[in-house]
Amino acid sequence: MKFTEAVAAALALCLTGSGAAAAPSSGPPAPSAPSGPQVNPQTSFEEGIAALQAGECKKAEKKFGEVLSIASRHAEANYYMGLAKTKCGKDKQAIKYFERAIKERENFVEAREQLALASIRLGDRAEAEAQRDAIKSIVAACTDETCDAPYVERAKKAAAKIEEALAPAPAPPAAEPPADDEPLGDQPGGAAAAAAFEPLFLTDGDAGAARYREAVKLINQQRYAEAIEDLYLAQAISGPHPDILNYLGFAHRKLGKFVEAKDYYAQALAMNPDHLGATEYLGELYLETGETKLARKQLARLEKLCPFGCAEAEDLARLIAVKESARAASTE
Amino acid sequence: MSLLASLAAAAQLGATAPAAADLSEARWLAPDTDVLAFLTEAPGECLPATLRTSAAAQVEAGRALFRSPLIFGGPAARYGLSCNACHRDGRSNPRFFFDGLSGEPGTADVTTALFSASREDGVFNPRPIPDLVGAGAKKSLGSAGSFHDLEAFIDAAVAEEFQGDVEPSLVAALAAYLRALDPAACTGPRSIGLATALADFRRALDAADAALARADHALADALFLAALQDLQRVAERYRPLPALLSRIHAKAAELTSARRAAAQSPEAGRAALRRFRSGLADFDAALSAAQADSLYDRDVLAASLKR
Repeated sequence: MKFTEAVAAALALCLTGSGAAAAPSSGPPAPSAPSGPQVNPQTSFEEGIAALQAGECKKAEKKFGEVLSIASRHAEANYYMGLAKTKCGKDKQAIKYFERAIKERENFVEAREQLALASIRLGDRAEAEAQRDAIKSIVAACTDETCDAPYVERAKKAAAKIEEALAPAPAPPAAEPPADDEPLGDQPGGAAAAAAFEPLFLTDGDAGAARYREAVKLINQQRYAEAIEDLYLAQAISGPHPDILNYLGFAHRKLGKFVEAKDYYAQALAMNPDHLGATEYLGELYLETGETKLARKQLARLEKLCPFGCAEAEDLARLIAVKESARAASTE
Repeated sequence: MSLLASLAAAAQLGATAPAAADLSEARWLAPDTDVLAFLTEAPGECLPATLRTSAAAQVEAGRALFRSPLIFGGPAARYGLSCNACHRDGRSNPRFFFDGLSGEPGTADVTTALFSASREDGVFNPRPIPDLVGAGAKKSLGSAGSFHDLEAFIDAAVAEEFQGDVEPSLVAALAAYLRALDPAACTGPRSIGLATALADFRRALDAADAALARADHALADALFLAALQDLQRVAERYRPLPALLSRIHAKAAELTSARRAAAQSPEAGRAALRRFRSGLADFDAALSAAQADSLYDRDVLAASLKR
């Protein structure tokens, strides 16, 4: 299943209010989770979707606020927060979240569509036209390899819907409730909230985890571009998780996209500073960019995190040794 | 599009047993498993007592490696899957289950890319996990019966199924262990407790020392890691007891130093191991004294699982 088709369907769950929510996360919090108020962003994500489907916009705002307090750059969470704001009549606030979702994923046509529609309601036709044109450009750039047919169909419908909304006279600006100055991600749930994650690979009975494992299979087969599509889908279903961000970093790195990879590792480590995989793979990235000192720092961090040894530390240590012996051989 | 169906199905599925995720030994279980029984009793190993001596160092090395996830690579090593997770005490494991790998409990698809791409066949075809007792006497091995040499079979399984990259001496040790498993030596179910866990730990240390005595660096290093993993399993059972948990962590740091010394020279490694072992009696006594409050105690474990 291609990402584009499946994500559109997943997002449609909220737009149409149909379908069932994913199962709540199971198992206890990770033992290493820091103390303090516990937020499970996956649970909050699922509860937010359920609230949106039930038309409970305030609850949806709260839940996606909790998610964004942990993962402020999660594209889907920003999109859903935008939807929640829209449903609560807060178009001006909604626009910030749609913009954030698009910033994280340029081809997020659902977010572009909602941004355009909210902009029209606020009287900003130029922004709506810009989003319509952006969607058309995305469609024009599509090939059979990069976009599947349902995605293209959905994008065309989004552009047509914006066109239709642009046709009549612009609507008067919506009445805006006063509190419209909250910063992105600074939502109920609190910045100090601590996240609780269980390894997604080991999670049973969860559609997002199952999709994540499909991505792991593709990564093992070195089919990185396809793996990225599955990882985006896992993220759309399950909400933010550092394991997904870590493998997004890994897959991008294997495709030579070091800037994106580093960014994903940074996001994973922001969510869970003790994440072994992201710590290891960021070290590997440093090795590949010739920053051996930084790679050694990552190894030192892993050795601290793994008092009983772990594969992440072993693999990074081995790669550093290989790199250093190659360098020594070349200087002889 | 099956997403709606899968989301609905996901909502119907139960969670894994409470607290099971905290104990790596209980990570790969079918949802309806009696976790308490699983964590307190094992099938029993079919290893003749005469082979449990230093003369059988190779067998003991293989035994320790069999229980260490770190002989593998990829997701298996990262999530704690060892040979022993599937072949418990060298036997089968009727309760083994992993979503995407298993069909019925006790089965696994070893031709999937989930742990390694080498054998991916594009078909979900889980098979019953075999009992390995007597494997050393078999003329053909593997699900297709295509291996006629135990070492070649082990080497391929470690590398192709689980992305491991092991030296020939590790393969030889694993083969020696499997050859030593004798149907006539099966003792029946055994209890799992602190004593058995510490015995596993000490046997891994003995095997590491024996490997150092032979200057087998690769094997010794893998055995240090195996011993550390044994210690980690003990630590998991002492999570409710922070003071003892700290003491276990301190022991792990000491053992890691010995491992580093061994990487410099076998002599230095053996000396460090001797020092390490000289403090083990007190360590064992402290753990034993608190065993009744640890997750080795059946009642404490049962209460933890209920939570």
